[in-house]
Amino acid sequence: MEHLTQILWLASFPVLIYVGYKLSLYALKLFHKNYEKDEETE
Amino acid sequence: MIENIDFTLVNWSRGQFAMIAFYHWLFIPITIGTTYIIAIAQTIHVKTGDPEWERLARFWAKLFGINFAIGVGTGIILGLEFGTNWANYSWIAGDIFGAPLAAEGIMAFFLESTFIAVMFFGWGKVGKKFHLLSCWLVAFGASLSALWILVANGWMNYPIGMVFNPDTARHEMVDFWAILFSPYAVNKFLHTITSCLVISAFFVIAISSWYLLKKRSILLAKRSIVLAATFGLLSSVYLAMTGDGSAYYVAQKQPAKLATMEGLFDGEEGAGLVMMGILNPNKKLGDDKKDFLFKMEIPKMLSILGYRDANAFVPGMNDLVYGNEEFGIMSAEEKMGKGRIALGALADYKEAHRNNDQQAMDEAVLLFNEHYQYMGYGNLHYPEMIIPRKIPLIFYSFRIMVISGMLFIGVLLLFMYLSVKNRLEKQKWLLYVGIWCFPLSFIASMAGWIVAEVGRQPWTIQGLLPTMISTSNISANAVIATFWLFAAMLTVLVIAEYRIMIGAIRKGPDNLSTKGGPNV
Repeated sequence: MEHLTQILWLASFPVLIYVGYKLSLYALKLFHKNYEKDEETE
Repeated sequence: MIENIDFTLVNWSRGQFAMIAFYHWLFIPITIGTTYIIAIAQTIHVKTGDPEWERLARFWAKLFGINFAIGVGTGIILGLEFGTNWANYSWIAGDIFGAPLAAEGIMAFFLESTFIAVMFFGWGKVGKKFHLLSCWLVAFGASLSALWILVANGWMNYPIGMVFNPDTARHEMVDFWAILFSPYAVNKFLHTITSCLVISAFFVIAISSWYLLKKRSILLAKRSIVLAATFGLLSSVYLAMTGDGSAYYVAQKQPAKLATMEGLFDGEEGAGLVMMGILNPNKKLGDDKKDFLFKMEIPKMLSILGYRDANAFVPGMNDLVYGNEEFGIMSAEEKMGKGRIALGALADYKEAHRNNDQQAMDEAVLLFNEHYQYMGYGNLHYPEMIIPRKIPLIFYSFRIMVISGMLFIGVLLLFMYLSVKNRLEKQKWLLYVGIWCFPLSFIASMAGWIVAEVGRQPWTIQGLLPTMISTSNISANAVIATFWLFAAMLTVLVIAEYRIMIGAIRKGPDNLSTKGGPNV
């Protein structure tokens, strides 16, 4: 318990990676939608 | 107090370590950060079955591999430096410093190195899920490796979890968990690792921007930018957060470093943070000249960052050297006196030990323990030594790091927005900015290391061991000769590595396809 704060801070790193992964998937989804729309327009 | 210090030896030993660390750091951030881009791309490939994502992962894995080889080589030389050039430090702190380094070798480096083989050679040869697991293990292995190294570095800046054994004259570990979970070390790890993610994001963005300008591998480049910009943006915000944590811990544990970073000669209540400024080159400790020729500051921000209190007193360099009774700051002279008492008690203990005088031994230990925390000050020659000598280098490096970090958040936000909107090709200026941000991210990161390492001088172990007595007892000429030998060897390796890297980038991802997929 003495080091709980620091353990939580360390655990924030894999959380950052997971959130980064999920956010990337969402950004890619939006990108593909816009990309396909632009391809069709052209 | 040690009178006969060979400063030529000390300075060349420091120079040699800094030079090798500089070369090491040219490769490490890309090695650490790119692994996550590779792992995410491969995850998308396994989930969607789209071969283009494997192609993307393989391309970045190839560039990662080129970096990895030299990163390992320079890292091994750095490890050996502790034995060859810093033997006194290794003797005094080896019991503590050796543990995280060993953990790094056993737990992290082996994990990374074992699965790197599967990642590189396993494409199409092992099961997709096992291959994917290997990609993620390489990524986490690289980060774990960084954790242990930064725990060791954190301990040098904020030594805890140990006692000094007067029989062996060495620091010995008593609490491994206190060292691992030291707030200084944890913050240092998070700040450094996120800087690696930002540098890697710009590495991917720079190469992909070049492809877009050359109208090559367009879809692959765009997907890479979306991935890198999103990941980079998130990391850059986290980097700023942990930067705030760094300022707080430096204020608590290394006030001289903070004062130097800010060019703060005289302490203030409600001190402002200097955004931009030009230091007065003629200003010296203890004189009445103006600190700055020009400065722009945010009022009270330094007090808030350092002490979470807008009106807190932030000690300046003069307060730390000459003392400040009003705020209870002990002068360096007084600390030096206490340090000499600690060293004298240690000598008395040894004498009593030789004479088998238990009572004298107990008295000496008692006196030593009372003054132990000032032990390092006993080796200093004059009070001004507690302030790092390169004040302008530290002050300007800190501003380069912070201003660049702010710029990166804006650039990554723009890249993310425009790449998601599929409008990047129309913004050629931004593609050029993306290319130039890659070397700038390295400059910012190196500036951060200068602040951290030059800023903690004169100490190898904060307050306990000065750098000038940490070196090996060897000839300065040997260090000078090996400096130039390593400089020549590493320069040749770096040139070769960059030529291979540029060749691989020019060749591009198109030639990597083994699936005969469409040429996007």
